[in-house]
Amino acid sequence: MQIVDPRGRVAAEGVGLARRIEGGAGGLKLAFLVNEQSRNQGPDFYGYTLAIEAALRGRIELAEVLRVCKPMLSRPAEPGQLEELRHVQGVINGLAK
Amino acid sequence: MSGAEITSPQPGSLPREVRDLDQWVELSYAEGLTDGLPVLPPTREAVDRLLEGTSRPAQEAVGEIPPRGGTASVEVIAANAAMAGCTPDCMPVLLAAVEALLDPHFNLNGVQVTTHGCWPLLIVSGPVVDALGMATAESLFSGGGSRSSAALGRALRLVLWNVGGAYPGEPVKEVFGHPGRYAYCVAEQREQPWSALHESRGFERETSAVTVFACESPHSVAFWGVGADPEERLAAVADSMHPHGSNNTHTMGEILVAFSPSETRHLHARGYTRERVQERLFELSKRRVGDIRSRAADAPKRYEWWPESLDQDDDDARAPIVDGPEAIHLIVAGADSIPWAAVCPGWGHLGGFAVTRAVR
Repeated sequence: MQIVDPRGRVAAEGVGLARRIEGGAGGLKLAFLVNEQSRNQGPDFYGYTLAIEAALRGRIELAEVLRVCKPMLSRPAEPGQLEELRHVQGVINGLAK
Repeated sequence: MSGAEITSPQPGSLPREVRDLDQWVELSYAEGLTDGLPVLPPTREAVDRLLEGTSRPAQEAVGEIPPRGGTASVEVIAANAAMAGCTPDCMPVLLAAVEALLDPHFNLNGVQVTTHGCWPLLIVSGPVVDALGMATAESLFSGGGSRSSAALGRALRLVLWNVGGAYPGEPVKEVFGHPGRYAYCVAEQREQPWSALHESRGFERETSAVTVFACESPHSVAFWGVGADPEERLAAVADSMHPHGSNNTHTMGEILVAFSPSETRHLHARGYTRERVQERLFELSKRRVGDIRSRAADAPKRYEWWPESLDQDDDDARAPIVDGPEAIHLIVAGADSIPWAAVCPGWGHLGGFAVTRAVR
């Protein structure tokens, strides 16, 4: 007797970790993807990114730091925002609360 | 049963042999094919019977279910329906429900993984309700003893679990959970004085339709301490629509209110149509800004989603708790006995918004 697998195929299963960032001449281009700019409750991730940037600048050379704020924390970043992020070497994403 | 073959293989797929029901039960738990409740085996025969309930090709992809991104083909949906105990005539309803969930307006990815305790409520309305023998009266929010009501809610859950990968912890971050995750399906009563839910959303009365809306469990509203005046009674309902901790109270969005048949007749006889009730509840459920937002230094200063016309510095200003009267979804259901209502808060402005699809 046959059984039908109820899970469905996944096209992009098995995605691994991002590779380690290689620093180029003049430093890294880094971005923060902030789930929501406005602070509604709890910790302020946008403010935290400022602290992270300051800490990173004491350790590594940063050529450029970009901040992208999603319009709605519960939805994916906009396609235009993702396009912006393609031009940096690393993206740090965090929760707004 | 003897001997099993997996016909939709994927990397790390199921073993091919299942000797009997006992082995299936153990396999379903070992492979994480259920959320904890036992499930029926999706045998080739059972799935083929369900596929007879739709004219759509078995391999047609209805969509990819987030967050896992599994492809929900008609056959895969039927497999989950078989595990839930659906009958073939449930298939068109289930397929329409999956399509509704995949509408970007609903934001299924967010609903699946949120910390909030909302879950997609499947609301069935129109002639298919009677055709399937769905529960519309006593205990309807827990299936009401109807196979179709329980199996449809259960099948949708299993699609979201198995194809969408909505597993607690990773990736689902829901803090407390929602008992409706096991099965959350209701049907609207056909014989009632108001327009049906799907009519209010642009469909013909004789069309069968499904509406999905992500919401919390129903919060009962008993009409204690009020008279016959509809304004008093709607104020009692509105009081349950805006508790301090509700996402709606702070971020608006949408909400669902169920009225029992006798209460609906009471309101209707006094000139309160569906639209008038929506308008009155919209006004009565507004809440004083000073009651819901602290002026502490570390409290939020503004909600950018609140309307420009609302003076957020005025503690006496009254803030709406939904996006408008039409964002209050009314259904008529429940036991035709004493008057009652129930409020199902939504996810606020974050998503889970109602989407309606015709059953075809």
